[in-house]
Amino acid sequence: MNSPVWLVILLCAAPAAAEESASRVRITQGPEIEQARSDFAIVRWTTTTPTGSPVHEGIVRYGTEPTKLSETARSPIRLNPSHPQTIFRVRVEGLRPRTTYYYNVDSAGADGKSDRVKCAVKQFTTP
Amino acid sequence: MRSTSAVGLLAFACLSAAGAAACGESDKRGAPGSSPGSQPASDAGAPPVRAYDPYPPGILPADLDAEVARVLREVDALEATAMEEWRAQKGAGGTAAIEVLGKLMNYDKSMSTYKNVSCASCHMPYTAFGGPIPSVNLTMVAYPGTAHYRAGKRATQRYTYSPFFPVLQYNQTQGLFFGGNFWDSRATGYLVRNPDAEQSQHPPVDTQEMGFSDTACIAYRLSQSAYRPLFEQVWGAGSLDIAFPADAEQICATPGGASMFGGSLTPVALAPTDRTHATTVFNHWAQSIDAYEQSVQVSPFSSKFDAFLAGSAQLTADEAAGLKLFDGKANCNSCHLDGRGAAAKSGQSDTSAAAEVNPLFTCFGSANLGVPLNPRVAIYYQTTPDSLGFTANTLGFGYRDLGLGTFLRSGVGSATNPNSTWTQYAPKTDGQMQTSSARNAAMTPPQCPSTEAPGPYFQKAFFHNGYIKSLKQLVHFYNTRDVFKFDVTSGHCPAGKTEKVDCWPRPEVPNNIDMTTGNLGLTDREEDQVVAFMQTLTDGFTKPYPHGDSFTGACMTGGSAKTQGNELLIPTPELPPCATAVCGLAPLPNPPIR
Repeated sequence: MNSPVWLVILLCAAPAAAEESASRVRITQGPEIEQARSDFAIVRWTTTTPTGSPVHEGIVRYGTEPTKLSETARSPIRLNPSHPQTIFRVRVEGLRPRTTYYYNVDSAGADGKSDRVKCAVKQFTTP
Repeated sequence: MRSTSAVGLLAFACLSAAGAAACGESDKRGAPGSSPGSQPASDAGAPPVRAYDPYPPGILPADLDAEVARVLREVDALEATAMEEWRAQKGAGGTAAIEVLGKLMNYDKSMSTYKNVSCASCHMPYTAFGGPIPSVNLTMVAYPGTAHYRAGKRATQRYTYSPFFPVLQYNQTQGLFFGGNFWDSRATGYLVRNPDAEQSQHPPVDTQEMGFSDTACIAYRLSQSAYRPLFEQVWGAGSLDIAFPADAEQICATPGGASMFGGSLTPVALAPTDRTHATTVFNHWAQSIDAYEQSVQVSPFSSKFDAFLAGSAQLTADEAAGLKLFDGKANCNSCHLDGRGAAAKSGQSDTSAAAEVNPLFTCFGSANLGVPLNPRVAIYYQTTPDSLGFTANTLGFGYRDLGLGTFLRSGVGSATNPNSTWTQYAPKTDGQMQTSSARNAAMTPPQCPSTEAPGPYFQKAFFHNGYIKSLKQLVHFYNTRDVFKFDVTSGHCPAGKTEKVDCWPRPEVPNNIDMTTGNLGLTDREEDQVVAFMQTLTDGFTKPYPHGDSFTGACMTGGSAKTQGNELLIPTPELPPCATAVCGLAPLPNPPIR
């Protein structure tokens, strides 16, 4: 159980590949579960600060099967362009108790354009 | 017409976010100290009206009438000062004339139905033109209007720097609304091209505030005022020459919403040309008040931070640390823009020159911060008709304050959205309230030099519903909202937990909650440092704030800023579902709001 999680963390936190464009948003920490309750969770991750509109949405796609992330949760945050990094936090509501969920993350500007964050699927279990 | 839109929703009540609410008894007949429970007779000789008191014991503060009277004495003194300023001008024109005209209007109690309320009744200088009664800020939050004790639903917003907000616009590139005035941005400024000016047009015809039944009552009462010559000097000879009907005073002395008006928004019978004329006067009223609020008498950029930007003052170690946090870890300036220059790298202090020397500490935007419902707010209890047949809130606790979202739907308690293309964005803005300027959040009268217990302090109310009672609590909320999140309503934190310390009740509006804050990781000391920095944003450092010393009431002392006001928390009743009149309007909230 532990090793796949660690693998995912490494995947998400890995430095940008050389061929990656300078503008691509890169995760520098997480994603991780900031808190999880029986029906609610907050997913948190840190990225290089995106360009674009000051209001961005953190996006969590999730589901109970790793290959079927059919649900989406979004939470707005406001970018601070002077900060080199940005913390995204997303509220995921309506969860079931004692259920394992799989998820990945992305973010987007107000125009809906994805920041093309790359992250493998992770998981958590509600209490 | 703006006036039509502003009063077009009175079936619920035209509830003002920031407008001048009213408190007090008549200056002429219902003198301060007159027995509570009755309305003063107006100049037109209308009979006293039985006071409306639908509130359970403990909702209205015990000293309400005395405090209303105290504020009225202060208003009278400031009005006299303004009259002296006008006379001293000896007919000079220019900015001085229109600014003193706006000042006179601001302190003129005759601009309310019963002549017992001025704009200043809820906007006094010593709180940066915010709410002047500590006990109201502590309890019912919204101020009683000309018809006692009708009251609105939100905390008073400060005048200071509100004139600098732009006309409301949806920025298609950013995907955001910018501008407007009021917590819900409903004073768009689309007609008078100035949201602050439009803001001043709402309270006079707000049923729970100054209470006029017709916008023409402003022109009528101005035509009767002692400073009519000044109005005509500024806006032109004959500008108040309107053929009012014989019953104008009687109509203007009866609060809006009275059943006798049969729902009419223009009960003062005027010929079409006179109606147009009266509307022009109403717009000039707005522009005059804006001139005063935009002047250095109200918005002077005279804080310690302004002096710091000018290189003439140094911040203390805590203030400087607070600024660094404000820009960095606390991330306050992602919305409360501070105009700083080049970016500081992580771990470094911002030593850059200011990119902007008069930052307004707002982005002019809106956000849903997830503030809990405050069950003390007066609006929830006004569910029965008053003696005039008016009911402010037929929804009781089924009402939810969706802020900008409700305005975009032209919903209850707001105004008519003048731009139909904006309506589609309502679900994305449910729960959003305007980002106020952080300037002067900490302003208090000099004899009560803090907003923070143990004081001596002046009790203020923060956020749109006044749930937060100190700046320490405010910063702690941003810092820990999600850390100490409990699925309860206010007054129901679990045993062993202290509300606002290690328990934050659920948000009133769960949609669109801004997640920039909520778990900032600030230490207790860092929270204090942010507060210390916010206190540098108070005008009056480089020169005394005009009339900042006009408070004649009492300071509060004792307790802790962390739990300030907690002794008056009341348990929120079991909430019914959000009323269809609020949460059932298209486009529907997404997800649905309970």
